[in-house]
Amino acid sequence: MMNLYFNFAKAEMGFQIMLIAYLGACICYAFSILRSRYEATIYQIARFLFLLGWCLNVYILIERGIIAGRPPFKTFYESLIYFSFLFGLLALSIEWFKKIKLLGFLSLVIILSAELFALLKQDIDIVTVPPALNSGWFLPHVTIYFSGYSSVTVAFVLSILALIRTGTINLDKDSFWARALGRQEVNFEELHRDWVRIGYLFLLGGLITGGLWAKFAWSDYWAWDPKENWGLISWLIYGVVLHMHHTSFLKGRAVLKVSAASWFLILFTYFGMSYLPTKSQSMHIYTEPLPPEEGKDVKGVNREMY
Amino acid sequence: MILSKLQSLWNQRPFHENIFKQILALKIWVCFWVVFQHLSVSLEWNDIQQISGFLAVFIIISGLLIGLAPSWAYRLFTSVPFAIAQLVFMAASVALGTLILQELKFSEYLDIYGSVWWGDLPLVLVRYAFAYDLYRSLWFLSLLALLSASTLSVAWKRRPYTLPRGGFLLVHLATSVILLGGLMGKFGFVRAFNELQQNQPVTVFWKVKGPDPNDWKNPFSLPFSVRLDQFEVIKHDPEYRLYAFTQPDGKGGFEDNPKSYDAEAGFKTRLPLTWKRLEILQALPDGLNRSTWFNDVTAPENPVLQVMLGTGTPNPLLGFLVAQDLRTQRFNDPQGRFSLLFNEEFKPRDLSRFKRSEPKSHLVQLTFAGKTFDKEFKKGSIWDFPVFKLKMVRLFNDFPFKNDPNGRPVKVETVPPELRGNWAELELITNDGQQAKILLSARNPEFSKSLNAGNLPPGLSLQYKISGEESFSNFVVFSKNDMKIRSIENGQILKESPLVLDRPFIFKNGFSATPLSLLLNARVDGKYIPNPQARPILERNPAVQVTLSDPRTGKAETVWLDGREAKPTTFFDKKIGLIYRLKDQEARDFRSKITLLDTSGKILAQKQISVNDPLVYEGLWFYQSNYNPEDPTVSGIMVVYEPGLWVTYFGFAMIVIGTIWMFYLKPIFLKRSGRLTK
Repeated sequence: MMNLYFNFAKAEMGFQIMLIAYLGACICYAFSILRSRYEATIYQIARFLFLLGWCLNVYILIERGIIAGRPPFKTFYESLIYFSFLFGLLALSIEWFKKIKLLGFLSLVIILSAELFALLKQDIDIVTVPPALNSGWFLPHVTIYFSGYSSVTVAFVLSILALIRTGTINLDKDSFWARALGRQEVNFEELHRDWVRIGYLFLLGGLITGGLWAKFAWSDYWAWDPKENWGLISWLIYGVVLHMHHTSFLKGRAVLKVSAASWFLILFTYFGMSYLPTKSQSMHIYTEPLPPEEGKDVKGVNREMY
Repeated sequence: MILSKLQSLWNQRPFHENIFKQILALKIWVCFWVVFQHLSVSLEWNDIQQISGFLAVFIIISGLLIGLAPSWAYRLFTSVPFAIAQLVFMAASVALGTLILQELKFSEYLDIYGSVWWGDLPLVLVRYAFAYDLYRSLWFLSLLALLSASTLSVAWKRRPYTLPRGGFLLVHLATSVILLGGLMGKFGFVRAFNELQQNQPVTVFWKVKGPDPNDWKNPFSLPFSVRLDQFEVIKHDPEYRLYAFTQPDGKGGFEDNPKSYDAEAGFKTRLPLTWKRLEILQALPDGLNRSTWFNDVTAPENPVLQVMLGTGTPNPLLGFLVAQDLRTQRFNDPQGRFSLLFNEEFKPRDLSRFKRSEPKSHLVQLTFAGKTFDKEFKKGSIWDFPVFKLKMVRLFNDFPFKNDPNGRPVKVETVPPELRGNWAELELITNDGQQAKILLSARNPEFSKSLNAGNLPPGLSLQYKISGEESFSNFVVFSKNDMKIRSIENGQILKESPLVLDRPFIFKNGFSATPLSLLLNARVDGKYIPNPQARPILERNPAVQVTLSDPRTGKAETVWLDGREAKPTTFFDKKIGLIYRLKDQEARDFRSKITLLDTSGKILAQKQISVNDPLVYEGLWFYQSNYNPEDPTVSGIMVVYEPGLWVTYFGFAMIVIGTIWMFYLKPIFLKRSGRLTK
C-alpha cells in the first residue's frame, strides 16, 4: 500500500491525473447506481470523468511513444497502460451508447486494477527495444492481441452481469437494477456472445500475426513457447465457449460460467508466465533495467516477462 | 448422495454426447499411442519412421472404423460435445507441456523433481509418457490427427455448401490444412547453423534441433557456398540520465525505482517525496576530470596520501593513493618494476601477500556455435566433443618457445612483456585421427588466435584464462596506523622507515617515493572542464554539476557527477542519492552482409540480413542468429528449410477469412437469400 503511494508520487503528472479521474468516475458510477438522489447529475459527471481519464490515457501513450521513438508497449508498465486504453475505449463506447451504468462501474474497476498494478511495475526508464522487437510486426501483433484481451474482458464483464442479474425487474420503479441498467432492458447474453466472437477473432489474429512475425525473427512460426502455448490454450477454450452454444444441454448459464472462467486463462497468459516452471524456456522475455546499487554493476539487467 | 449424482451425470447421455465418457476414451486413445511409441523406440525407429508408422496405423484405424461402425463413428466425430471434449483435452495437454520443462536429460529431471513431494507425477510422465518432448510425441500428434478427422467430418456433414455456410467450411477445413502444413514440415525440415568468418565461404552448416544452437552432430551441405562479407553491430547512441533516489531503506541502499531526469543545464525540480530541490547547474556532453582531493574535517574518515614518485626521469610523477578504494589504493609501475600501496593498517601476516604468486585457477574456455564452455585445466585430461577432443598437455610459467620463427634461440628476457606470462598447451584430436598442437597465451588472446588459426576448425575459438595471480615482486607499502614506509621484496621487508611528509624514501635502484601530504578526511574537490577536442560519441564522458538544496534549512550541496564513472553519491546524511549513468546499451541491430555463390563463383543472391530480415533463396531462409562480442569478424548464421510452410500460411488465411465469414458475412448472406426466396 505504501509502495503504491510512493510510486504514485513518482509517476508523471499525466498518469496521476488520469488515475484520479478514473477513480472519480468509478466512485460517481457507484453513487449514481446506489442512490437515486442527484442520480442524473452524478451519472453525467461519471461519464465525463471516464472520458477525461481515457483522453489522458491516450495522451500518456502518445507522449511515451514520441519520447521512446517506438510503440509504447515494451514493458509491463507500458503494456498495462496500453491495455487500459484499448479496454477503456471499448467499455466507454458501449457505456456511452447503451448507458449501462453497472458496466461502466465494473469496467472502471478493471481499469483501475490494471493501472494500480502498472504503478507497482512502474519502470524507471523508457527502455530501448532489443533487435528482435524492432520490427514492423510489433505494432500490429500487440495491438491485435491486446484488442483480443480487451474484447474478452468486455465479454467477461458482460458474462458477470448476465450471471448476477436473474429474473425480470420492473424498470419503471426506482430500484438498484433499474438504476444499474439505466432503466432499460438489456440482453446481456446476446451482447456477451457478440463480444466473445470479437475477442475470439482478435485472439486468432494475434496468434497468426505472432506466427508470421516469428517466422521472420526466430525462424519458426510456432515454437511451443510457454506464452504461445497459453495463447493457444485460451483461444481453444474460447472455442469451447462458442461450440457450447450449439449443444442442447450446455446452453445458457453454463456458457456464461465457462466464459467467465476462460477470462482467468487470459489473465494467466498475461500475468502468469513468470510463475511457470518453464519460464526460463520462454522467448517472450522482456528486459527491465535494474537500478544501480553500490558496488554492483550498474549496467546489470533484470529479465522479466510480460 | 454426491456419488449417485455423479453416477446419474455419467449415465445421463449417450456416448457421442457424453463429454465425461469421451474424455476417458481420449485418455485410452492417448495411452495406446504412448505404448505405440515405446514399441517404435524399442525397434529403434528414427523420427521419420515413427511418424510414417503413426500415419499408417492411424489410417488403418480410420479404415476399420469406417468399415465396421460407420454410423457410430460419423455420429461421434460430428457431435459438438466431442469437439468440446477434444478442445478441452488438447488445451490440458498443451498446458501440461508448459508445466514440465521440455527436452532435458533424465538426470536433470531428477534434479528438478526428485526432491519435491509432487515430483513423482512429472517424473512418471517424463519416463513413460514422453513428456520431455511432449509436443513432438506421438500421443500429442494423435490428438491433432483426431481433431483433423473431426473437423473434416463436420465439414462433410454440412453439405450442401451454400454461400452462408462457406465460412464454417473454411474454418473447419483450415484446421486440417494447417496441420497438414506442419506434417509436411516434419519430413525434410532442416535447421542448421554455422559461425561464418568474414570472407571465408562455407558450404557446410551443422544441423541443430531447436532455435538455440546446442549440438552440432550432423552436417548439412548446401549446393552453393555462403560468404560473410561484413558483420556489424548497430548500437543506439548512448543516453545518460540523472537518477534520484529519495527513499533510503535504512541498510545503506535505496528504492529500486528512482525517478530519472534528462540532464540539461538549468533544469530545476522538487524531488518526489521530499522537500529538497534539485538544480542542474552545468551539463557537459564531454567533460575532462580536473578534480583534486582536499581535507574536510566534517567528512567521514577517508585517508588519502599524495605521493611524488622519482624513477630517474626528468619529470617526477604525482599521484593520490586512496586507502579505502581497492582500485586506487595501489599504483602499479607500467614496466612491472614495483608497485606502490597505501594501507590503513599494516599487519605482519600480510607480508605473505606481497610476493609474486602463481595463478590460483587455470581455465580453458571454448566458444563454438554461439555457446561458451569452461573447463579447469588438468594436465592429461581430455575434453570430449562430438567431432573432436581436446587434450590438456601442460602449462608454462613464461614464454614457451625456445626459438623464434627463424630458428634462432630466444632469451626470455628479451621477449616483449605482452607475450610473457602464463601459457597453456593443448592438443586437438579430430575424429579422423588428426592431431594439432594448440598454444594459448593468457595475457594475449589475440596473439594466440593468430598463432593457432591454421589448426582450429572455423568458428571455434579457445582461450586460456587465469585468475588470482600476483605479478609484482617489489612493493613500497605506506601504512597509516603505524606511520611507516616499508620496502618489501617477495614477502621480505628490505627497509623500513617512518612516514614523514616531504622526506624521500629511497628504494630499489635509487627510485624514490616522497609522501607530500596525508589527508585523513579527504573529499573530492570536483571539477570538470569541457573537452576542447571533439571525440566520437562513444568515447565522450558526460558530466553534470548539480545542486541539492533544502529550502527549509537553507542548506545546499553542490557536486559533479561523472556519467562514465556512474558513482552513486549521497546527500543530506545519506537521505538522498544521485547517480548519473548510461540508460541502457541494448544493441539496435545485428547486420550481416552475406553472398551465396555457386561453385564457379557466380553470385546467386546477396543481401544484408539482420534480425527480423532473413534472406530467402529457393526455400532456404538464412537468419542472423547470434554474434561473438569478442570477435567482430564472425557472425552466427542459421539456415532453415521448411517444406509445407505455404500450406500452413494458406491454412492461416483460410481460418481468418472463414471466421470473419462465419461471424459477420453469414448474417448478410442469409438476409439476402431470405429476401430472394420471399
